[in-house]
Order: sequence, then structure tokens, then C-alpha cells
Amino acid sequence: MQLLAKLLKALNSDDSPWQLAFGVMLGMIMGLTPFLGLHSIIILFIVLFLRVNLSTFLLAYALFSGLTLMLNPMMASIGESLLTSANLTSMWTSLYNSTFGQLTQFYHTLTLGSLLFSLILAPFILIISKILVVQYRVRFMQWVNKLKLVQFLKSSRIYQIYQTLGE
Amino acid sequence: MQKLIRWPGLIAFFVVTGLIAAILIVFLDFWIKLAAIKSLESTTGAEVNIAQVSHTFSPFGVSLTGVQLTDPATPSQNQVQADEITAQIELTPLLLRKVIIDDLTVSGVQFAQLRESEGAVYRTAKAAIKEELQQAFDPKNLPSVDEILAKSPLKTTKAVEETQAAYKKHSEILKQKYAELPSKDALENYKKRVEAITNMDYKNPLELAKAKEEFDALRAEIKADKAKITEFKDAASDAKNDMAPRLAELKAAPGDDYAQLQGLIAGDEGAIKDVTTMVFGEKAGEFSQYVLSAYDLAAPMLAKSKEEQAEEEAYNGRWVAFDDTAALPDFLVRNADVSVTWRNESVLSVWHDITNEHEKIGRPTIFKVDSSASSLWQSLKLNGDFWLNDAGVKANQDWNLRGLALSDVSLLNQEKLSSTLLKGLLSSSGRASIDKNVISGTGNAALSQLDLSATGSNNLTNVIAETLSGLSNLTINTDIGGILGDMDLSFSSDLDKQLAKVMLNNLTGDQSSKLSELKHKLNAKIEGPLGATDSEMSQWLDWEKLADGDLSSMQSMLDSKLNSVVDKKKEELTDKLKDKLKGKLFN
Repeated sequence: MQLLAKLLKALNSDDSPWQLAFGVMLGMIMGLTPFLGLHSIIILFIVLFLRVNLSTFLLAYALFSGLTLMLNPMMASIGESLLTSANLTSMWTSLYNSTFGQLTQFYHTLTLGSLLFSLILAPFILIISKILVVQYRVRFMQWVNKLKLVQFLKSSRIYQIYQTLGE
Repeated sequence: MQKLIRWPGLIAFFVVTGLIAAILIVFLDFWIKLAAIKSLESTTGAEVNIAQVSHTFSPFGVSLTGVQLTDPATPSQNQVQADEITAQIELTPLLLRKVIIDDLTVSGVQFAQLRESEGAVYRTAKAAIKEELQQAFDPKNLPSVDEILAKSPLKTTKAVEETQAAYKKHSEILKQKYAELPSKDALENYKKRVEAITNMDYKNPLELAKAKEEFDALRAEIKADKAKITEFKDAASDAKNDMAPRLAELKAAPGDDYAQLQGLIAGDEGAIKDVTTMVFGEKAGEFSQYVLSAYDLAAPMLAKSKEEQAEEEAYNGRWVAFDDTAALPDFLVRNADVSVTWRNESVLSVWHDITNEHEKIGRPTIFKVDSSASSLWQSLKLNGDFWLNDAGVKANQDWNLRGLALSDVSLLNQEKLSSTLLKGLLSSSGRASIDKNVISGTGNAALSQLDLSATGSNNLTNVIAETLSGLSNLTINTDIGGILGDMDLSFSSDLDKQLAKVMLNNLTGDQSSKLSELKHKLNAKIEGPLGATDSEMSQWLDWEKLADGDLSSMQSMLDSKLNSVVDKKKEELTDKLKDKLKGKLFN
């Protein structure tokens, strides 16, 4: 209910489609990668400091976190093959001996694999999300707003609170 | 630019990250406690309690206080407990999730201590020996003679079966071979034919040659029949040789069985046999637990198989090192001092290289106890090592304890029998080894200057109690077996034999009549087969005698020679020739 209210509010807000799309993209990266790590702090900084839509970020984070149940073994194997590749050993070794490298925790197979996977996916998610938001606003927003469920949600206390917070 | 930046967001960022860091740091002790409990519970299969956890950042160290591991077999007790565990952990390998402990100190280790409340058990444990054997002391459970005979692996039954099988085999062969033997008429016929040929007066060489041909054919017939008789004789001889020791065994079997089974009538042999285990097993097991407790440490390290680890790594990822830490195992305690408390006496054990990846460090975990005289014992020495690999555990351990003073040790406290060791001295030595998780070893515990008190509540347990009370020395031999994590200890001593003798001297009227019945029934078991076999055997002997007679008569027939007739004729012809020559020369 809360998530639906958040989504509705975000979609119906005056935020630009890019703000919403960036929220989805960053939420996807945060959701697919392990929570504790330098990348999480950087994403959190971008999301909070820049005007990225928080609702779509949180929604995407929740959704993609759920997907890790299926994707983790595949992402860990990507990291495994990269970290154990003989051609890349010298690069990993020099990175490993730097403070920045240690902080990124790149030497964890899942962290590296999932970060790389989500970064490759990021531009596609960004563009698709932007298109979907625009299409929603043009084609479905009015129709959705007339639905009884949506009217009920809009009158709910939770939606009111979000509305207030957003102003 | 202002459109892009959200200044309150910057404050929110610092608040959120600060909050996360604060939660991690403030509740670090709580996270460590949770992680330690979860990890220990998954390996022991029972509730683990840790009273308090504290940490220091420089040098990085963790301290656990009041650690209790519930015994899954007896949840009211702790399998092991420690007052305090402190560890100095290397920080760099920890970033790779490798726990490398330079110094570990475990103090106040105690085994089998009562818990304040019963601990939860997540995996079921094996029933205690005491419960399994509790019924054995009840004389109501004495079996009847028929039950004993039905259940016991009797020598008599085995001997009867074997004798009958052997007899059947030989009897069939002999009967078949006997049927193939030449009849009396055939032998008589041979005799007449031989006489006819050998006694005839041959007029010319042609007749003689024909007779020789006939005689050779007859000899061949006789030879074939003689071979049959020889075969029969050999078979009879084999049968005799085979049956003689079997019959002797059959005759002796009831006596052997009687000697074996009389213990069952006198008392419950199961109870007598297990008195050592019943009376001393629990305490001896407890003692062995101390001596072999090193393996309790090794067992949990094997809990996670390579497959499970690989599965976990496939899902959660793994840490890859690109420096010297790569060669380090995931868990290593370089040096550890473990202090075990027993009867207010502290025993220090020194450990080196505790890990579950010995191949990475290239040396085994070694441990040593060298305790000189204390108020409880004269000396205690224990040395051991273990090496874990994919195949399991490879370990060796030996111990030598001299003059452990025992006093007021409750050995057994049951309704039907209770026993207390008032005082005594225990010396024990032994050796155990593990190969691919299979434990084997032997030990002995010599109890001297014994003062035991024991009370029974029925005929059987009274005799046991009386025997126990009279003991001044006892040597208990221990066989160590089983697998790691499920060690199997069996105890034996000459106490069992002593008890069996005493029991036989204290028979009741009912027991005596049961013994007579047992003897009678055992003898009855062999009467039939023995009688039948005896009569058959005498028939075989008769046949053999007859065959002997036939054989000698046939031999004499074969020995008679037609050649003598031929020679005689030759001589006659020579004489005639000589006469003719003489006439021609001198006329």
C-alpha cells in the first residue's frame, strides 16, 4: 500500500521524467549490489544531494533487492571470472594495494560482479524508465486517477503525509 | 545548477550515513554476539549462550564472557562452558573475512556442568547408554530355557546342522558308488571264467592265442570293476575322515553350550556382561571426554563441507586476495592457552595452529598438556595433533595419567542398584587415533586402593553389590571407536567373569531346575542326529569291509596268469624240438 502510494505520488508529481528515471536506475544499482560498501555510500550521496526522485529510488531498490535471489549466483560468477583472470591479475594487484581499492571491496566476487552487471544495465534502465514515465503521464495518468482504488489511496492518511512531505 | 542540488539532502546524507555507522559501532558487541551464537549453534545443534561480549579497536580484540554450549544429548547440561574467551584478531585479513587470531585465551573451561535451565536442542542426540541398558537389571526379564535356546547362537545347533549336511553329502555319494559296484554273481562269474581260461589244456598255438585274447578282455572288465570298488573305498575313507571330527564336535557341543548359557540362567548375562559399563561407564566416559575433548574442538570445524561452502560462495560471493593473505586459511589461531577447570584444579593446555585448512599452513594443529603434581594427581601428560582435509580428520593422541585421587564419586544411582566410589586411585594411559573421521584406540584405567559401597534390591543386584563392595583393584580396558562427533566407548574388565562365577554359586531352586532343563534339552538336540549318523556310519564300515574282500578277490583274479600256460606250451614245444634235433644228429 505504502509503495503504491509512493509510486503514484511520484508519477503524478511535477518531477521531471529524468529525475524519476535516475531514481529507478540508482535504486537498481543499490538493490543489486551488496548493501555495505563504498559504492552504496556514493549512490546514497548522489540520491540525497542531487534531485533524484526518492520514491522511485526506494521502489527500485526494494524491487531489485528481491531479484538478487535469482541473480546473485550469476553476478558472483561474473566477478569470479574477472578476479581470477590471469590477464587482469596485475591490475587487481595494484588496485588491491591502494587504499581506494581496499575501500571499494572490488576483490569480493559478488560486489565486483553485481556492480559491473548493474552498471552495464544502468543506461538501459535509465532510458526505458524515462520512456515509461513519459508514456504513463501522456496515456494513462488521467485514466488511472479515475480508478476507485487510486481515489481511495489518495484519500488515505499515508498519501496525505507523502503529499505534505513533497511540498 | 541549483535546480540539480538538494542542499537539505546533504544534511540527510550525513545523518543517514552517520546513523548507519553509529548503529554498526554502538551495537558491534551485539552483532558479534549474534554471529558467534548463530555460528556455534549451527555446529553444535543445541542452544548456545553468551553472557557478554566486548571489543577493543587497537589492537583489535574480542572478549566473550560466560559462554555455554548445551549438550544435545543431555540438554540439562552444558557440553562445554568457558568463563572467558579473549582473542586478539589481525585486522588486515579480517577485511577479507579471514579470522586470524594471534593469541587466544580460554579460561575456566568445564565439561558436563548443569545448566540453570534446559537448553534447546535443534538436532536430536543419541539416547544415553544408561537408559538403553536400564532394564537389564530387572530379574523379571530373565528368559525361559526355550527362549534362550531359540535366541542363542548355539554350538549344538550349528554342529547338528553341519554334521547332518556332511552326512547327507557323503551318504549320497556312497550310496551312488555302492550301487555301481559289481554284484556277487558278477564276481563269481569272473572267477569261473578266469579258472576256465587258465585251467584249459591248449592243443595248439592258435587256440592259445585266442584264449589269451579272451583273457585280456576279461582282465579289462575286471580292472574296470576293480576301479569302481577302489573309488567306493576312497569315498568311504573320505567320509570316515570327515565325519569323525564332526561327530566328536557334535558330542562336545552340548557341554560347551551349557557352559556358555548357564550364565543366562544364573542371572541376566546381558546385565553381568555390562556391569563394567553400567557401574563405571558413565564416569569412565566422562573422564574419556576430558582426555579426548580435543576432538570436540575439531569436530565442529568439519561441520561445513566443501560442497556447502562452495554453494554458499556461489550465492554470497567470496573474497579473493592479491597479497600474502591469500595463503592464509579462513580461520587460524596461531597460539592458544586453554585452561580447563576440574574440581577447582586448573589444567592448562597449549595449542598451536588451530585451523580447518591444514593444507594451507602445511602443518597440523598440535596440543599438549603437561601438568605436574597437583592436589588431585601425581602427573598428567597428554600430547596430540590433528590435520583436517577433504577426506576428514587425521589425528593422534596419547595420554598418561598417574595417581588421580578419587573420592565420593557416585558411580550409579538407580532403583535396583546404586554404587559409590568412596575412595581410590586412578591411573590411566592410552592412545587414540583418527583416520578419515574413524576413531580407533585403546586405553586402560587401573583403579587401586578401592573402597566401593554398593547396594542392590534383588537377588541379582545384591550379588553385584556384594562383589563390587569386595573389590580392591580393578583394571578397566577401554575400546575407543566410532566416528568423529559420535565417539563410541566400550568398557570391559574381569569384573564380569568374577560376577558370573559368584552368580553360579548363588543359584535359587528355580534356577537350578532351569539349568537341568537346559542340559537335558541341549543333549536331546544331538540324540537324534547322533544316533542316525552312528548307525549309518556302521553301515558304511560294513560296506567298506565287503568292498575290501571283493577287492582282494579281484586282485587275485587279475594276478592269475595265462602266460604260465603259454610258457608251459613253449617249453613243451622246445622239448619236442630238442628231441627231434637229437634224433637227427645222433642217428
